[in-house]
Amino acid sequence: MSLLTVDRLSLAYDGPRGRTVAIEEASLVVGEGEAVGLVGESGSGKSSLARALLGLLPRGIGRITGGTITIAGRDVTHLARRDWEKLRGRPMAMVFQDPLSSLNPVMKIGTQIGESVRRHDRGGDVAKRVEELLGLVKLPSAVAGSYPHELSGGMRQRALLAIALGCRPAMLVADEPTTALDVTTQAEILALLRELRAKLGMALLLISHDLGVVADACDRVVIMYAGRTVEWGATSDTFARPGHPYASALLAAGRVMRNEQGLFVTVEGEVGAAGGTGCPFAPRCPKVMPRCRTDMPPAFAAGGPDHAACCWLLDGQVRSGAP
Amino acid sequence: MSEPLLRLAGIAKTFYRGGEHVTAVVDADLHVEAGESVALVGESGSGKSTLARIALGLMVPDKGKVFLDGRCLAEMTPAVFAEARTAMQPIFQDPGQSFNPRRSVGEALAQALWRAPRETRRERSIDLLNRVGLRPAETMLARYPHELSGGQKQRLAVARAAAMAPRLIVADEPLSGADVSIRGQMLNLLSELRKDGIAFLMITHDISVARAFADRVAVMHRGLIVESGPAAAVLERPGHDYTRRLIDAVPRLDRYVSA
Repeated sequence: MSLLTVDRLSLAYDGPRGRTVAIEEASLVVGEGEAVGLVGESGSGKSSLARALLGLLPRGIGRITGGTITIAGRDVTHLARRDWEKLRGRPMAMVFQDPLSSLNPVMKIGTQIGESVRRHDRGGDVAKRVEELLGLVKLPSAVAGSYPHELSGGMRQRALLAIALGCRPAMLVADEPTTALDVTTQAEILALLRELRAKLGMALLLISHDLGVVADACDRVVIMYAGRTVEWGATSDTFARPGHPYASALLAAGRVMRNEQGLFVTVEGEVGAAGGTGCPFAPRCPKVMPRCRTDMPPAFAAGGPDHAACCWLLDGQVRSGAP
Repeated sequence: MSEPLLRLAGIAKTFYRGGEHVTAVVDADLHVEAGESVALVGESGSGKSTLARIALGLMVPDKGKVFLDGRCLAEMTPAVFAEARTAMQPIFQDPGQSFNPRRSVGEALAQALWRAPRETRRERSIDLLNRVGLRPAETMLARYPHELSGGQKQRLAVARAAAMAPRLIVADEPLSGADVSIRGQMLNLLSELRKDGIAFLMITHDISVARAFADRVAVMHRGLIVESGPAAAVLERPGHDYTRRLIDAVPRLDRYVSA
């Protein structure tokens, strides 16, 4: 059974100037113990999706307008705030990009980890468990007595992981967990995540704009563009043979390559808004066809198993079918 | 040998912060030849941004000297120093904080073009905007910074730097906020300026950007330049342990992608 299923989820924000579509019919599955990377550029809707998964959409502003979210067999799409409290931490915990704003500045790290331990495991030796958790994220036990501002960025991210693990989650949602860190610290955190998954059998949904990070940490990858999931598959397969023109362009740009003219490979234009008609990538697509501007392509099977992309011209073949 | 465009000799800088002395730059030598592109790589806290600020004359070093065309910044008369500041233009990481929010795009560029005759400034601004791909340029002139996206603001920062007709651009992480798909556009834009003979000192933590853009790479670690040399040599055959660690830490994408 899958731990998390997002099925054709649509999401919008209601602001003073009307409704802004953030996500349109995005789908995503994370199985037990699996590591899935959600890749997208700014404005692609990946962080909105992460927030929706944990019931953290801004109240009265963020609205799920269609589709479903299922966590461990339970439909949580329109769960009441009170009921979310029981789900957070276990089965799903989350770490964010900026550990400093996620930690309480006036509370010692040990106390904060203890809080999360008590939340799901009443009774038991909290102090011992805190020490265990610090060991798990490779922090010296003395850190329990430190305040967040006394720690480096990498140590804070480890502390945040310890808090998340305190809930014994079956799945960790990590939103850009290494973006604020240096490359060497990033490498350490990625190695730690890999080790924790092996040790605890924990599933991971890693949200990142960095394709390299996802290539490093994830079994499967889902690519988002302008609020839609446009391609998904095994990481090795998807990165070796991307089907969607956006995925190809993103991979080429990510490797900082030059083309035949000696120019750096790029994707012309800027990421458009979600919620238009047709394929959201059409305005920037080098291979755009008339149909792309009017009909959103459905997912077509690409090369490998469970590899699919939403493109009318997948693998150079003009596809037909209902939008 | 003739004097390089920019030369930093024996630079040291210590900050006094929270009752403690923090040494940012210990003893750094660095030079940029005319028209050359040098990447300064290293982790945050390595002192690379401090060194960049010292090079620009925005910060005075405790020890050491900065030479532009063989003339020491500290010994310049105010008028000559003003010339030097024009010849070296900065581009910073956060374009959102580089612009006066109450000045329109046209006003920001007109200010950078203060040397040009007043009646030509509008036309030159339009040229610059077209060059950096902020189109339609005429309507862009009336926009305010908050109306531009992050990528557009970074283009405007490039346009403003180019407006001063500098000989050197010191760019501190100009690409790190940009999306991958935009990064190529920015690199192409900066490459265009290099064709005009503008030299670059690019501060970056991104090894792939350094490899693609720089002629020479200098690696900074704990306030020291631990290694420097031609980009290909330093990045393919690193001599220093720290350089190797830095390169190895970058997650590999090419492992899946055949060239």
